[in-house]
Amino acid sequence: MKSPENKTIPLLFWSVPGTHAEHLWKVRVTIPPSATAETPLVLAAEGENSVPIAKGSFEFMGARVKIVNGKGHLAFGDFVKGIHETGVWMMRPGHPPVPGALTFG
Amino acid sequence: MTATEIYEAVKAGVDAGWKLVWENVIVPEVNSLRSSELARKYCITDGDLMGMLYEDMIGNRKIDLFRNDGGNLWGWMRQYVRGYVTRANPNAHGEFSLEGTAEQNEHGEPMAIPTDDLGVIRNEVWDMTHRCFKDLWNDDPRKAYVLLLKTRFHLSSAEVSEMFDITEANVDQIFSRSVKQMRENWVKHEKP
Repeated sequence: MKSPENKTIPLLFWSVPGTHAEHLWKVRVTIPPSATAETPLVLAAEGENSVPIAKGSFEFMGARVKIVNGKGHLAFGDFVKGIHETGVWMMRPGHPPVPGALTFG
Repeated sequence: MTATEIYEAVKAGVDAGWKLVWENVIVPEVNSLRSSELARKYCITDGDLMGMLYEDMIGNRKIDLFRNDGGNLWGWMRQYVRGYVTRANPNAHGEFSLEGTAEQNEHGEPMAIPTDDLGVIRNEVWDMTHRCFKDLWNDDPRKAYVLLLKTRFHLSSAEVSEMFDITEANVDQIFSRSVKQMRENWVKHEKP
């Protein structure tokens, strides 16, 4: 289990817009070069108007990642383990849980 | 008409059968996002495509290649029509360019009346890509990851296989299925 050398891979997860496109969020997960199972991936979480999410919980890859001041961490090994998981949820105080998905760009 | 009767009618060149070809193959393909712009660019009309398809199917007996075992005749014929459009680029064959023969303005640029807003078309294609990608994700996220890593980040099968601890052959298989599914999703979303 190892990510490619000399390549940083940024994956972008977005909220699936609801009826009124409210409670939007996006999370950028960066896989660093040569990451192994123990390498922590950095998650950058933003809410509406690209404001970093101060506090929340991001559920994806079958794991629950704590978000503090717009940042969260997940081991690369746990990321790969949850590759079949479709469930992606952002939970923030004062907001309902909002689902999301990986995007193409 | 049953599927077999339709196939026989098309094979025999009967008007009723070829009317259905027009409705189910030519019109949807000419109006598809993929072919409409190219057909306009290369000055190919729906009538031209119908003529080419008829000549290929009946004249060259390509219709005999269709295995009438319950497969989708219209889908099979659309592949041919799509091929006529994509292969119609005169520059690709070293022939003269239709664009080069157009009237030129004072700056030497070919004069053309814009009929499409390319920005709008590009946005539509991008939106459609996201829609199809979301369907792929819902079906199996692993397919979405493999497609993204190979097409957008240009990772080799070996690199993807090392990342996810699966064999290279498995990566190729997942990639092939994901591309096929993206095409199917595209057709599904294009239907009015």
